[in-house]
Amino acid sequence: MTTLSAAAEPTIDERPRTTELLARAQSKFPLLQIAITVVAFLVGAFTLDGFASENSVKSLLILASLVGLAGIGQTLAILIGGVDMSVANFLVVGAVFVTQFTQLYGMSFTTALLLLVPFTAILGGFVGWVCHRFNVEPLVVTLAMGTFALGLMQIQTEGTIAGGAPGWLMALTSLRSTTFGLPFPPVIAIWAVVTVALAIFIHRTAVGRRMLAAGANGRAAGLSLIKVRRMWIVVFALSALFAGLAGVVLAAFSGTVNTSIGGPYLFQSLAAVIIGGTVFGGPGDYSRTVIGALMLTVITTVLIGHGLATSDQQILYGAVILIAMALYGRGRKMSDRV
Amino acid sequence: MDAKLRAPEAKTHRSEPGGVLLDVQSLSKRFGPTVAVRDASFSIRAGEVHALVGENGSGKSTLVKILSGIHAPNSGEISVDGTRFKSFTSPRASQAAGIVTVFQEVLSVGSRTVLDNLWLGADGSFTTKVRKTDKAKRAQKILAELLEHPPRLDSRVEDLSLSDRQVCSIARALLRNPRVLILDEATSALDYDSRSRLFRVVKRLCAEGVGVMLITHRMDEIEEIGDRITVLRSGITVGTVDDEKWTTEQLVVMMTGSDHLAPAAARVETREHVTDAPVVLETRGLSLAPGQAPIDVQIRAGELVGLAGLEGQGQDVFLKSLAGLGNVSGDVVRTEGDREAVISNRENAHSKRIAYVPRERRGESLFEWMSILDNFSIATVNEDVRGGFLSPRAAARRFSDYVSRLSIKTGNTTNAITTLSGGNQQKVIIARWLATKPEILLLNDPTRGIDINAKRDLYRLLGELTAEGMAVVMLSTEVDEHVELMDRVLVFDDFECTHEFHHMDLTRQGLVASFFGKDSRDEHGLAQNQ
Repeated sequence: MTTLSAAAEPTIDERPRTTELLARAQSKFPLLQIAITVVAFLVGAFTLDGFASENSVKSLLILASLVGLAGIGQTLAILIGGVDMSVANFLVVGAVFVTQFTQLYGMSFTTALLLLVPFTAILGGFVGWVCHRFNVEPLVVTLAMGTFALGLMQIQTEGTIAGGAPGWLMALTSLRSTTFGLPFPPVIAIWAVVTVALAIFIHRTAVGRRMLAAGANGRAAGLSLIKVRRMWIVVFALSALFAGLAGVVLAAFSGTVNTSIGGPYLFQSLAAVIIGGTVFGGPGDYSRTVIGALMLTVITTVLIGHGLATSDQQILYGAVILIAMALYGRGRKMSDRV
Repeated sequence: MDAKLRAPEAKTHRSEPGGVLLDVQSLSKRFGPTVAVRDASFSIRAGEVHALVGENGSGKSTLVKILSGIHAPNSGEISVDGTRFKSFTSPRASQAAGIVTVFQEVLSVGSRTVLDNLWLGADGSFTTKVRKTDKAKRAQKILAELLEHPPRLDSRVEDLSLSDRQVCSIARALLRNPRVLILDEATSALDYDSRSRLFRVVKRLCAEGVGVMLITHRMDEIEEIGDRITVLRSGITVGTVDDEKWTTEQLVVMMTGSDHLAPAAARVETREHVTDAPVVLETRGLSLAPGQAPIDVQIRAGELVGLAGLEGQGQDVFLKSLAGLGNVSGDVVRTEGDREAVISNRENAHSKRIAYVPRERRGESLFEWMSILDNFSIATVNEDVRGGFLSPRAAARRFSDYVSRLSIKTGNTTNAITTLSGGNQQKVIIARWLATKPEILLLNDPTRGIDINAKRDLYRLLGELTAEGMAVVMLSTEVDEHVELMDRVLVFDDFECTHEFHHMDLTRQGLVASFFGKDSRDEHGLAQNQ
């Protein structure tokens, strides 16, 4: 396909070289990220005892799935050209709903889940509306909404958020659980299903296509009869909703719930989206975030195995985002000049 | 920095009149797959006004940007006063070499004073290069030369008229004491008086030995002050015309490579006139701006209607209101058979089979990273849904019809749309809207910035579409398109529709004259030479 495009412009005497071919392949698929993940895994397997064992791989996948699930909404928000800084707080909201409210108000898990869905969707949708209606930075609006939502939780629980997840829920992420008899915990299966579903949604549905178009060029999308504001409302509603649901899984994983359990996942999910190669306003998709989450998790686990501290991890995430943004910035500038 | 702030006297005796000041040899520049400038060579002598003409998209602005240090050329050489440059690394480097450019877009900082704007960029971050009293004195002098009633130096630029703001940008350039002054369509924002004064200043500068490069699409300006003319076509300088020995027709031939724009020049004549076709769209009392005369126009099936006039005279607003995008008073009425409906918004217009191709390809039409196919199908994406999911094959099948019909040169249609040339991008966008099966097609300057072959393809397509009974309304900034293509041309002036020409009565002279209104033609003689 690449040779064809070169032939279409006969005046340019330029044959694609290997590096160019690789660059083009990279722009369609995150080859580099996969390669780095594989290398990091091999390094871990050779330098750390038991790193390649079944249990170790399973726990890697569980850790990555938490980052990945927290990154669903972030991926959608970035694809439409925004960013969602309320992910961490909506994780806590989700966790509080299913652990605290069930005890506080004596409601069933299902009821709590059914309440969580409209609660997060309405707050998130409002964010999307505000951002598009008043043309304000989603960065600021989502931060504000995250704080607002977390505050609401603290009022309900009178400031003392601390609780536990029911045992059956914890099985969702337990190393020893199985899924329909298969030897891995359900969270991994859930993650896989979500990945496939999102790939279909983004690339094979009319709504997904319109969402990508709204991110690629909001003005052109509006002129192409796409309801851009509705798109923003839906995307941010989904982002908050998925963060809330990821919070349920996180509650299962952590066992105990407090206001800071979401903290690390904001930055990790953002880093996963960005190093996966999804660019603000596209191109990108959720499968890239999955690879980003795997890459981050493998690298940090290997480094922790070699004695990396939490502070070093933070330096790593920060550096990764800075480098990735610098690279994209260059790419974008090139395309701007055409 | 120092070089450009030297007093004017310092350089007047440095270059003798007639010597070559700026010499450009085989410059080329490409952006990705698009070649903007292929082979440009020309030279500007001290003391001459050298006009650079070419059609839209011929590479004029890229060439100017190379000379101004905004783009680096891929090959070629620039020499200023004997000093050779491979490229200018920044606008600052270009200015240091003595090249100062005034751009078409009015570049000023609205919230700062006139004085600040005139000396913008002259000082360092923490240092002052010119004394304050000196600044005020020189600013006053140059403004007095350029304007009959110069603004106060401490008034804010945003309070000035557009024309006066552009005069400020010009004054800023002149204060740099250029050796080569480039006016890149800089006169289009000026009112008549400021333009005459500017030309007087240009003549003075030439007498002092400055070389002036004038980029304009107005032949009368070239006639007024131009000495030599270089013609640019598809990024190649096809020739430089000397002295008085040129005619507009000769330049048009050089610019287009042919006498006529349309492939079959007699297209309209061979077609029956459409006077008895049914009216499909009409405006009733449409007023484009408060207090302006209402417009009542009827558009018939199979008609090709042109919207003409100088830039920003309301033709754009008129076209948009036909598309349901206007914020105007009065009605746009769509007639289908014996049903009538007032168009109220874009969705509404779409459902009444009205398609609109916006003006800014990049800002309003393209989804740049998305594929050619996705760019085509986006407005009709529901048609590709098979069992709830999008079928790329369905989209590809729909697209293939248009590829042959519009002669779109695509590689693999899953490549990004930016791999195509501007002309082919525009064809994809038009295909996007044809796919909505419109009965009325509204085109907002569709041939802007596309190459001549793509233009010809488009003209042929418009002929076919109207022959099939589609009504086409097209805004164009090119006089020749109106003269050669349109069944009818509406001319806009000051947000009113002032003239209407039928194809039989269309001449280049008559149309251009109408842009300036009858009165201004008599007063200023602007179009008499056309």
